[in-house]
Amino acid sequence: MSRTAGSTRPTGGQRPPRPPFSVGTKVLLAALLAVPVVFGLAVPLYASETPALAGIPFFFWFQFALIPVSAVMTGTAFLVTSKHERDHRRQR
Amino acid sequence: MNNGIDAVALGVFLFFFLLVTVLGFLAARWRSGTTLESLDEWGLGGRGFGTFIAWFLIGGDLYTAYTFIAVPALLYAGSAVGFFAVPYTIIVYPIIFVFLPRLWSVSHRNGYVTPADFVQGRYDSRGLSLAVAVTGILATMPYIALQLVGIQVVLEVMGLGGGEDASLIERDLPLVVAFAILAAYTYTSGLRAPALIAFVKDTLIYIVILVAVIYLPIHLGGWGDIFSAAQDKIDASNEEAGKPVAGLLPGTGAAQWAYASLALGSALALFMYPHSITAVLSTGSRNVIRRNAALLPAYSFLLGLLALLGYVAIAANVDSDNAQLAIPLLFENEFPSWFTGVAFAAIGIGALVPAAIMSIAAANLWTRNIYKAFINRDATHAQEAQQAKVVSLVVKLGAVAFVLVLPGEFAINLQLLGGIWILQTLPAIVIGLYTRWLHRWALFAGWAVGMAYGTWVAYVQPSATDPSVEHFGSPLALPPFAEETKIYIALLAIVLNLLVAVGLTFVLRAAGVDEGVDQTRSDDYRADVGDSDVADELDPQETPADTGDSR
Repeated sequence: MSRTAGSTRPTGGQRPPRPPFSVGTKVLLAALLAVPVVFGLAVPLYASETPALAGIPFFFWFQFALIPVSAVMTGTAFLVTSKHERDHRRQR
Repeated sequence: MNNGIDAVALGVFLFFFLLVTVLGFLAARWRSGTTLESLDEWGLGGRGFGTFIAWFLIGGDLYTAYTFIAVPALLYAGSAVGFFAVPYTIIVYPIIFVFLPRLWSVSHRNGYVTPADFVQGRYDSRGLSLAVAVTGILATMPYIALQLVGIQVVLEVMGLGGGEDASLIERDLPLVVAFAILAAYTYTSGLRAPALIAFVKDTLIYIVILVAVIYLPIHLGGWGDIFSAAQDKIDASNEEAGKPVAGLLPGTGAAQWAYASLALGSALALFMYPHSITAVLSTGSRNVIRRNAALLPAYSFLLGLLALLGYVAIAANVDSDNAQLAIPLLFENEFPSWFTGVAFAAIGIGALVPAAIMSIAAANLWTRNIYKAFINRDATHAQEAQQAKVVSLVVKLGAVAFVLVLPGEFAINLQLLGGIWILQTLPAIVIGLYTRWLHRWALFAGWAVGMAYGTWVAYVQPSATDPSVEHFGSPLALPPFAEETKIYIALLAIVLNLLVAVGLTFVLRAAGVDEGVDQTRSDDYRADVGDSDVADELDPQETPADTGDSR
């Protein structure tokens, strides 16, 4: 990159920098996003044949069930971040 | 196996192949800017893809034909550890959610096309940037080759070119033709071609898998019967081996460590791959990425269902020494010809989409971080685009040669190594998104040590089941000082990599070694579309890359 910082772009002024998330929001986001990771990696928790569901061992159906749960967690995290950005825009 | 050619199945397959060929060439004009003569246009599709297109593009990119063949093949062969692909694709999305919007923002603000561009801008180190670029190219090449293996498997079951007694030309001609067509439309249309074709690919895949997982269990007596058939086969193979070599699920502690470490290591590595980053940087805003992190798990569900088809194939008495043929054979045995043709088209096209994106990603890396950084520093946008187009051809040619000339295990071994290698670029890219504390030369040293250690450990692993395989037998290895529990080699190497990077950073900082100039600013990492300096489509005349004197 040849351009030194700020040589051709506006040096602030035009718009205030996007504010970072508050601590509360960060904790909420971390908790939401931790759910898929923690349960996905907790193999001893779900490496079991029972209780089976319609002939499918627990090991398999638990992981299938975790997929929509993860999607909901990540989706909620998305709504939290986009609300933060909307609020920020309204303030300007 | 029926070695005759099924005319109906072949006809349906050829119909879809022709359809995507036409789409591939038409894509050049789809949503196009004024010219394709810049990397932003050719290599990133204009950087404007919305949620809908990105969902197909990223999904089509990450869930490759090889995955669709290899994952059920593992279950068919009695290795439940193969199902790790499901938790792997569950935990990858929170990871994407957290750090890829930052990479997107800094790349849009500064006109970065590749992850190595970012490393160059952040650390002011051509050496480190080159290391990231070379690692990306090395890891991508065998991945492209494996997509060819996916097509080869389908062609073989269709009776095209298969069979040991066929002549070399007869055997390989269909594959070469398929790849030549792919190369031609990637050359003319760039990233827009796979983006458009991904619609066809994913629609076919969803239809095929849903039909298969609803129809086959009903036909075969339900999931209970399928799992007990799988259990019977696993029991038989354990009895034959005289020790537990297979299991319906990872029951032992060792198997569970393998399962979890493969899932974690693969998830961390996935978004270091150039083709993933290319797809993500082609999106039009940060929110497209975040929204897709919640929408893309639909593909994980699909992958899980597909994996179970490995057990379905056992219950359906598919008998093949080559586990990779299990799924194509299952379709050929259980479904009418026309539907088999649709299924084979889905797998075949499923190979073309990622192969195109991977070759574009590798071409971008070459052009930006080797050609422009070292060979022609004053390259114009048009020269960059031309260079990338030609290199995308070379990369595909290399992949074809790879598959045709070298033994099949070679691509698979290199793919195993690729996963280990690509994870070694994580400290420079991901940690670099948050802090510049790690010294550039410490990162370089950590990368070098991780690469060397990972390669060596992978090389010396014998196979657990086949005593004739002495090298590259397993992605798992014993950590130092451990006696029993093996974990994924990529994770071992990244821990060593980080230890070296942190340790050397203390030393280099104490010695006052120059850390270079950071060309990014802290608010670059949160910039979004509509902010100053983040144009919807970058104007080639004004992007910083144009001046290029210090690159």
